[in-house]
Amino acid sequence: MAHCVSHFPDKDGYLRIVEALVNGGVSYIEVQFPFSDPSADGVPIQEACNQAILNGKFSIEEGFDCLREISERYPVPIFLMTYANLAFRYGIKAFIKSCKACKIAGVIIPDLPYDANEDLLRIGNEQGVPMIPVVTISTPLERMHFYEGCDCVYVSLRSGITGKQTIISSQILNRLHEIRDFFPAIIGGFGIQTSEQVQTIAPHVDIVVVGTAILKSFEQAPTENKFAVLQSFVSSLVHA
Amino acid sequence: MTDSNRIPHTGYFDRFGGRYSPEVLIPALDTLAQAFEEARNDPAFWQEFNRHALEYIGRPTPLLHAQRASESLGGAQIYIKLEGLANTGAHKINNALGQILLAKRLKKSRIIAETGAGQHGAATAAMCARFGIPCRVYMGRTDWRRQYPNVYYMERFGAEVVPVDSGSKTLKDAVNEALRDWAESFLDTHYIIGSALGPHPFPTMVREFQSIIGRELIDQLATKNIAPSHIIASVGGGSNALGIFYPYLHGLAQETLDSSLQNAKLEKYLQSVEHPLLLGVEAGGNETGHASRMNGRATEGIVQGYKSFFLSDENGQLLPTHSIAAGLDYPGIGPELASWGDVGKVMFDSATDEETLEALDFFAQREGLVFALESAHAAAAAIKIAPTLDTHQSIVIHMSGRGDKDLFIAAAHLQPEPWAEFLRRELDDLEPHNKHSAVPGDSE
Repeated sequence: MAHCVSHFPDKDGYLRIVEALVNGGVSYIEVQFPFSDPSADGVPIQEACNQAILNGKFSIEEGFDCLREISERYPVPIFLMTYANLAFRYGIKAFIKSCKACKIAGVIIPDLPYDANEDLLRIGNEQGVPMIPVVTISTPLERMHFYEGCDCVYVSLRSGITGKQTIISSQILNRLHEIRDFFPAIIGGFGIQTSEQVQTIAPHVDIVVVGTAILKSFEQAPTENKFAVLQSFVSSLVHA
Repeated sequence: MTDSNRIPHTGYFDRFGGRYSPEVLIPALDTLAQAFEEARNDPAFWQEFNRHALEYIGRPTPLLHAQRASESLGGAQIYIKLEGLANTGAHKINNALGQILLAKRLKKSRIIAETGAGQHGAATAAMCARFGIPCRVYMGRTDWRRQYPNVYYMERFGAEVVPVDSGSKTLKDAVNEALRDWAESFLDTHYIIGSALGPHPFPTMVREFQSIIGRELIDQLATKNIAPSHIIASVGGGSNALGIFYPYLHGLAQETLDSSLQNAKLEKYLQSVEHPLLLGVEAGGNETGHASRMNGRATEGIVQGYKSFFLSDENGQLLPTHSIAAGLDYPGIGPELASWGDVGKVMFDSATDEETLEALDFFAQREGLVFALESAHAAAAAIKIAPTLDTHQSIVIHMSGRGDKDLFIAAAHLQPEPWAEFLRRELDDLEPHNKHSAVPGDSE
């Protein structure tokens, strides 16, 4: 699964990034609706969010319009990630309904945990747009019980924020096997940057997420062929 | 309440507060909440707290009758709670002390903090110096520039001060950065949050440590037999206001006040006293912006781990704020204060940058007091209210901090030319020394 930020670097650029990801052969796309204060993200995604808000003039309405367009154009399932304030401001129910209209495969909102989730879990289940809980490898198993019944869980492979490389230890892999007892499917991400890492982690999860590394490859590519460079980087990860 | 998942022990104040934290921090928040509950019920903890409060902070802080100021305004008698006389210059030290004692109980070997005006950073750094714990303070670049004297103090106390360049480069961005650090470091690090905000248990914990101000005030008022009609405090996140309002909000129960007064006298006072109007004063800023949230301009949101009122746009993006006082320059308000405001138990007003500077000068000239720019917002509101009351009535202003840290801001406004001359002279004197070493800090 490849991550991208809605309306980064602007609306057109975002749609072209999605096209490059699809052409690069990704199986899933994680779209992040940008928030001004993304306190779980490292500098690269913070800056992308900032640019999406300032240059891309991101609005939630337009974010959903684009998702509708993308879901009609491509067969690739889309997960939507954002922060609590956007969904809360829009109204959790309305947010989930818009997700449904865009055929979103699941919603990822890390700062709406079980004990303070504003009914996201219940409404998501009702509407058939599941909430994907975000746990980390250090989350106690007792807390995993809260989320039992969810079809899928997002596991941060490292404590901390996005963007720093994760060293995949046997401890991490063992923990993934324990988590598997609770959930039919695991999305694993945070700090996956290279094909080698994708290869190492892939047998242990159902979906591998690459985020910051994709963003960096786009930003570091020369202006004239940014999208082509992105596509071939993604393709190299897919075929790892 | 529409939230069917609401669990009672996760720190709600009515519908505000809560623990909207990513899972990664929840075990750390659980451990902290438990340690806080244990400490709160442990007399030995409070014994140690009180010893440091007496010996280091210099408690109790005085309650001053501002006689000339009162006469000059021709209305109510003005009393000022001089919390700015607390060591390190503001109320922030009460919370820093309480939390460092907790960190010690939790055996944490590193402390992080965010700071706006630098008062919380300085208080935390001072505590870390005294307890021998390494300390890192995050500070928005804008605040780092304008409150540099406090950067100096933090560094002298041995802390590492990290300027934050994301977002609006103010207090909210410093909080974000501290949260990012903590998500990675929570195993060995305690995050001393400076205001009554963030995920549970922080708002309750900070209020608990700051309530010493209000408990002391009641004692002082009872001793002088004064029943104020207003208690006025500035509001950024809300820790100084909650601290001084505490006994009025949580019941004037004698047993919670641990007074030095004889029981009979205190009881008589508590029975006779009417509830004062509790007034929080927000940053009215200037034509470029403000941080005034409780006058209908903020909406409910969930940010930085708690639900409260935030200045945000229709897409939920936080709006930039402005205040001459770095400590009030924040788009949210602590959840408990938001809840009291929501039900009308605390009222809100705002003071502009200009009114604040006028208030600062007014009390300097009449009382020999220099308010911190944050607290001068409360003083500005008092200047408007006092003349509308009778001379036998009284009001209390919370001077939560003193203004030493604002010398460079206030002097540049109040006497620009001589101040510029002074700065030029100082720079000239410094230059020969500085030829061989770069000016510290700013990497821009």
